[in-house]
Amino acid sequence: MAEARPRRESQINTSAGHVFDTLRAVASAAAPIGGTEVARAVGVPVSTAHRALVTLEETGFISRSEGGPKFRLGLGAFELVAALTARYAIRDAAQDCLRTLAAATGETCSLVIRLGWYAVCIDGHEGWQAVHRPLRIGERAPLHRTAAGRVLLAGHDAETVRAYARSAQAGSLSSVEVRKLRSELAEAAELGHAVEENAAADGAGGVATIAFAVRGPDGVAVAAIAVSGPAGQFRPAEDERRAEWAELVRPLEAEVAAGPARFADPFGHLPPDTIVLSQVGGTA
Amino acid sequence: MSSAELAPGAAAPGAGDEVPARPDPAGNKATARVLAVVAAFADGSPSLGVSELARRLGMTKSMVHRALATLLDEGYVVRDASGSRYQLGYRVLEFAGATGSAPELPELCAPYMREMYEITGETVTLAVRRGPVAVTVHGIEGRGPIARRVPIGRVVPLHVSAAARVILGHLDDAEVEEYLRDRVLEKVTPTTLGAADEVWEDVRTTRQQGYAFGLYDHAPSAFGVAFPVLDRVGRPYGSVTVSGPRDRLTPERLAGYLPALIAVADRLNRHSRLFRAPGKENGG
Repeated sequence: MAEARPRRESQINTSAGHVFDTLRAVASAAAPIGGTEVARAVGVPVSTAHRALVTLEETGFISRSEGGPKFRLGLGAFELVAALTARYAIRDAAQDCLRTLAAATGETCSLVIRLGWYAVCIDGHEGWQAVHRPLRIGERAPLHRTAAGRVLLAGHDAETVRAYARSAQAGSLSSVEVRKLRSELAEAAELGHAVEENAAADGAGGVATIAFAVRGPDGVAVAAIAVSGPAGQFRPAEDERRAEWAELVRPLEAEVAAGPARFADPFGHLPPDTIVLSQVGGTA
Repeated sequence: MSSAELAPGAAAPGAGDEVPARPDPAGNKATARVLAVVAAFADGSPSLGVSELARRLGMTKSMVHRALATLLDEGYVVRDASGSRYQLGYRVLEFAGATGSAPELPELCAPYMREMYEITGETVTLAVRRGPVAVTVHGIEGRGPIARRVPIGRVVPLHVSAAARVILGHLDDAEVEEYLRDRVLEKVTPTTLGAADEVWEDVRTTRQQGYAFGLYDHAPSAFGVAFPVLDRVGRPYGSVTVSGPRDRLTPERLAGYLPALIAVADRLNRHSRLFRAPGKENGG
């Protein structure tokens, strides 16, 4: 849920802080949410939550669900997320790749980029399977936690991997965890892909993922294409069409090779340790 | 979204989830400015400077500086690589919804459908594509003693009715071909398109106009015009149709409304094009 950050005094508008906490509470709620629940989630008086909701509604960031007292995200919030993902040139370049791979596998294909020490889904295409892994744009997790994240970290030098392992975002990995990660990264670098099958958490079945690297000329992945589906139905580890799927990613890699500067990380100038995001999901 | 001023909210004290609560004009204005500044980045500008923001939003530079201080502190805006300009911050990702990445289509279309209703007083409906058919999912019934009914749940093949034909016209050639392959073109009325070359001709007309007129090809007593609702890559999510009784909504009368309706449809599409239509190619 909405994590309160320590705020500096002086110029910082605390009322705006409540508004953003409120917006994040609305975004992370599974269903439309009202003032009382927002107050509880954010830790402010109900009157403060109401004021924040009114301000957000009037500026289009949230909208009333069916005209009632509860709110959901509005177009203003979606516009900002769309504007952010549009900063990544790979998003538009990957459209054909996502569509053909979704058609070939029948499963959900996500476009995942590295943002600081996180792997973030910025776009995707759902397949044709009746039971599937829903696409979740904005879903993010520390790099080592997902197949896509490991593919994104794999081409980096040992120094970067060490810095990642020490970071708060990674959760300061133990030496055992670091050793395991190194061998996973070596494998991902060699194969150009990584596979993960998560055990079921709730009896509904786990998620299986294969993530393909979209590598730049320097060998570092500018993005990963993750194909995910229900573990019983999708078995990437043993599916022999893996090599065919990898071929579907090659044209995108060729496009990146033709003009790598265009695909530069829009947040590449920020030290990754300074990029902190609340986490959502993490099976892609 | 760009408005820095807020309309005063109702002064009733909040009880339970009953929003609005008593506004706090000074705090609200400053907060609304913070939201207006971050919303300015939704236009896709890679970076913006203080003077540009001030000019565009009608604020003083010091107001913009104060709003930016809050946004920088929260990570919703960051300095760009040059250090002197600002770009949308990574934390905007936290506004991506927990339950999906785009607003529900009816919610996205509702305000524009309302405008079309206010322009014409006629029935406005929303249809979505599901594989080879279009389904009516939402609508506003026209005023007056006689109105076109809102046929929620109505399913029609893609070559029947303006609402469906405008969707067919916005698919690519291979998809139109696939639709026509082995299909018996069922005649619902005497004017329903009954041959493949008639369908192709209609597809070309739709593509050229950007919208489709009624042909009395589904409900012979109604006439209207249908606009596509397209996604970021130009694929149709569905269509919005204005229709009414044929002796009231005559071609001449509709021609009079058309420029205003086209303007609304253009704005609707600017919004819908921020997102990706659900990827279930075969209709989920």
